[in-house]
Amino acid sequence: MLVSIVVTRTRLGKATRAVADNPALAASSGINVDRVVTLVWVSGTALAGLGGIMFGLTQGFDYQVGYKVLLLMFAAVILGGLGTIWGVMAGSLIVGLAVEESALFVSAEFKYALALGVLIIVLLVRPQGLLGRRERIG
Amino acid sequence: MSWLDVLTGAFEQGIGPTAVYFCLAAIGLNIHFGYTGLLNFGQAAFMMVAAYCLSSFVSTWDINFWIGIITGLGAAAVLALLMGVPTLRLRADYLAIVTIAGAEAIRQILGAASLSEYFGGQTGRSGFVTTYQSLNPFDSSIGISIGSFEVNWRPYDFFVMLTGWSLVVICSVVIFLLARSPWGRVLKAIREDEDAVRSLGKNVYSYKMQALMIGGLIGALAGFMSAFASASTAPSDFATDTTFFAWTILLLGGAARVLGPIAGTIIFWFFISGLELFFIKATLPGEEIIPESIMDPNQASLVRLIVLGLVLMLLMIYRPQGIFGDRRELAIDGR
Repeated sequence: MLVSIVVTRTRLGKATRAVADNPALAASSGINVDRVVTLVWVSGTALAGLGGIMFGLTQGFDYQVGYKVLLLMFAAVILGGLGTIWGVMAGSLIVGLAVEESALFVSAEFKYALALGVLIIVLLVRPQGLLGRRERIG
Repeated sequence: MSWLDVLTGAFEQGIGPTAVYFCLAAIGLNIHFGYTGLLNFGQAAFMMVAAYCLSSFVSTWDINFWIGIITGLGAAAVLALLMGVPTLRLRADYLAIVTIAGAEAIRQILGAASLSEYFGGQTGRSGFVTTYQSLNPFDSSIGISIGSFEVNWRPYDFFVMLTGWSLVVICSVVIFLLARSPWGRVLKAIREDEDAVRSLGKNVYSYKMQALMIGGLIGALAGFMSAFASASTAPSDFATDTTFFAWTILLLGGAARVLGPIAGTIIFWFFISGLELFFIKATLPGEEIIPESIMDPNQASLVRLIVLGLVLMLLMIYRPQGIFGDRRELAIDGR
């Protein structure tokens, strides 16, 4: 939620979205594109690190953990909509619940395939995701 | 420690059976990324479906080898359609997401224990190369020797290399001709500015789809060669690092160059196996050059991956277009 507020309300957030939309135009209106990119990159990886710590605290991990959650994360982000923080939260909840519940019906080995199915269906039917805006997907 | 051993060992791997299939995979990626600007992070998926079509057709269902090859190519084309239809109309990053996720999901399915009856679970399938082996005209090991420099390949390996490098030559000639054709110019134009191409009345979506399919078919050839090279198919052969090695080769050699992937492959495998041999020999107990407190023999073969990472970073900093690439042509995302 803090991220959402930063991205939508502050000057930095506005600059970030401007860079994402059109780097050349952002640079010509006085935004230091390289600095914004570095900042976003660093804070994004820091958030991922926080996610890793929480994951490790609750479930334990091995060196392959990245590949296992990658697919689920992509599915969650696409379902919620790239470029929306609230959408991603909703998407993660839905994908997380769906994947765990699916173990009731199909073998647990196929939960990743299910996530891929969700991904492709969402992209076909509503490529901007649940809460995304159509003009952002290019 | 003998430097000659390191050199011959590295040369043997540099153009060996493993190098061949990575070369084909990188050629496929070259069409995707180099010419069309598509970010395909799932080249392993194309290799995987093709290799598994062949191996499970022949060894599970006992169907003709050549039908296996044809269905393998068909399956790669269908996979390209499946991943392309939802994503190619959207921004470039969507294709990247779907391909990397798709490759991993397909690998999980093929390695699933409940399907091991068909695909062999984690151990995969083997024993499908008899038809291919029967075509092998060589029966003694073949090699090159210049003075004390001597390299030898087993007859089967040499046959794999011969088929593989022939395929590489054929694919390269086809790409050379395609890239010069009007069709190839449209692809390059899409890479530079999609909207401009659309405004000239070209169907960008269909051109991208064709490029994705052709690159995927070459990826399927790479999958067959990988199945032949190890005479088996296992999920671990097609992990995400397979894709990333192919990307490294492409970026090292230079994207959007016909000879880029070939040069990249030879250099990449020459150095990566040379480094491995060097570190193994340098840490050999009794005659170590590197003291054990710095590196022990168990760590030796892993250090090459660290060096690989370093080389890749230096490459991106000092020569982002690769060894043979053209900087003007590949100003992708140049801000």
